[in-house]
Amino acid sequence: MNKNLFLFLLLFALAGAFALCDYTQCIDPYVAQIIMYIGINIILTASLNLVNGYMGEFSVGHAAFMGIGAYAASYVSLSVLPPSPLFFPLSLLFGGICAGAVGLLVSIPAFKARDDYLAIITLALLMIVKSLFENIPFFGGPQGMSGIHKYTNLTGVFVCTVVTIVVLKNIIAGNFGRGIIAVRDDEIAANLVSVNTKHVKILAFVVSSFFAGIAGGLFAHLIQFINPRTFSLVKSTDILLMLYLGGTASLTGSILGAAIWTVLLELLRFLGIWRFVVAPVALILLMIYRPSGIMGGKEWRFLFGKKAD
Amino acid sequence: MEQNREPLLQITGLTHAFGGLTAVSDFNFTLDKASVWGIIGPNGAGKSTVFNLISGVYKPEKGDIIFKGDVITGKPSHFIVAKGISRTFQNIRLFKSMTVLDNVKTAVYASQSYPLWSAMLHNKHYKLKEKRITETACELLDSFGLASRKNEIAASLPYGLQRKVELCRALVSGPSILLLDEPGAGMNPSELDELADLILRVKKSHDVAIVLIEHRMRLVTGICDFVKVLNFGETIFMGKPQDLGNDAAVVKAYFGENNAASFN
Repeated sequence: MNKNLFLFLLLFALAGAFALCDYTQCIDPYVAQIIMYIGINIILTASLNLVNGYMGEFSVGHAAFMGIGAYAASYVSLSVLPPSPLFFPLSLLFGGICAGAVGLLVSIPAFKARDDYLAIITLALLMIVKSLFENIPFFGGPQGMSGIHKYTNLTGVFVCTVVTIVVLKNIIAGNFGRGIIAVRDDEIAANLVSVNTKHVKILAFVVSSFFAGIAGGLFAHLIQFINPRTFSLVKSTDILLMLYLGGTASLTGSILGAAIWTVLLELLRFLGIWRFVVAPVALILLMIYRPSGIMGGKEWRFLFGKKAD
Repeated sequence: MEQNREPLLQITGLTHAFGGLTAVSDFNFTLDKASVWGIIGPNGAGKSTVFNLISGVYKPEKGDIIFKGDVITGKPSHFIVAKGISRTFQNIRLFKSMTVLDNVKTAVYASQSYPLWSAMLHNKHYKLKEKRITETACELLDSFGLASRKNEIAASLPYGLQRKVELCRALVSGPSILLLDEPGAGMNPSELDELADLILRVKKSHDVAIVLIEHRMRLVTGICDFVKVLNFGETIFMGKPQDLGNDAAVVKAYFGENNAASFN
């Protein structure tokens, strides 16, 4: 109980500190931007972890859901809601719901297939979403959308990140989480101990895409313009990299993976274009010497410790 | 026994083929409460297929399965299990990355469910439910002598204990019928006797009817009230285990025409 109170106060203090930073602009804007990227990447990685890590499927379409969230949130905040940061949570939510709805639509055919086949279906989704954005004038075509207000700030990203992690942690700890892990370990046995695996899979996919949509909304309102190329396979690969770097089936891993990868790419900026060679080499080395990622399926007790029963 | 009480499980004319091979043909079976049935037969006789048909892994081509008065033929597995037919597997299928306790807790997915938002918010309802789930699972593990191993990864347990964990997992949802697929595989005679006691104890304490597939005659003759013998998908014998050795068809299926003397 004491630990929970301490964690709560810590998170509250952090939120306060970030709010102060936002208010006084005391942090270098470049550093603030990196911190926000880290938060957004944590949301993306942790939500993908639910499907690729805990459930053991292989989806490569996460960038598509991020894109849907980004476009939907931007559209609502540009054209529907009054231009005030007060309404930003609403447009974020709308982005998340749109992504979740598309997730639901895709999950029904997608989960008739498994493994490689699911990867191919999500890859197809990624291509469809990208070409829709590119070719429908309503979405701004190849130029995308610009002039999006900069509503994303440190506090907003922090709150969204914490909410994502807490919700995912809570889902994983309960009935559905056990169902999700059971699907990964042995799907037939899961069905034969009364887990409705079809529901579990759809649910995991929808929750995962919802949070990807939220991350997309935050992202769009941070860089203020989006175009279809932003949400290509490269983005999906980035998220996969962060996931496997941190280690699947571990929320601590997702947090670390996202933070380390984001910071590493920035630290290696002096190498110019070579950083895209050096960083992946680091990843190859990690996969050779620690194939299960940094956390290897474990959690930090302090953050995600389970009470002994 | 009352005359017109409806049976717990009634199977009529169950038939299933894989391609051209008829694995089970015209399988009829009536199960009352409080009995232990054994299904035996040579390898490939269709015993496991019968279990897979009852538990919804395969959809039968013909025939009806009526459980507690409802037709469950072709229903999805999770529905059938939730309705009260649990099973174990020939090759143990525990969730290998989970602890013993979580393995058992997974199996209350349908019997003690709660809405997703309860889980997301970790509200009172969730905490109450989870507490009850953990208590139920712990009590059951305790009664099987597994209390001290509950936080170990299930796959790291010795074989015999894994069998017990699987049994716990099948029992935790409170089934009315338990299907055991070769529970005695890989056990020595003394372990078999222990298993026989365990099965009879489970039958009594959990008020559950038991159907078991088994090759080990020691177990079959020890605990089964009735036996059904399958050969190439067809039922060749149905009756008390004591009469097995006197049945010409059974002897022929197991030993061939000329070796009847070697039975027993």
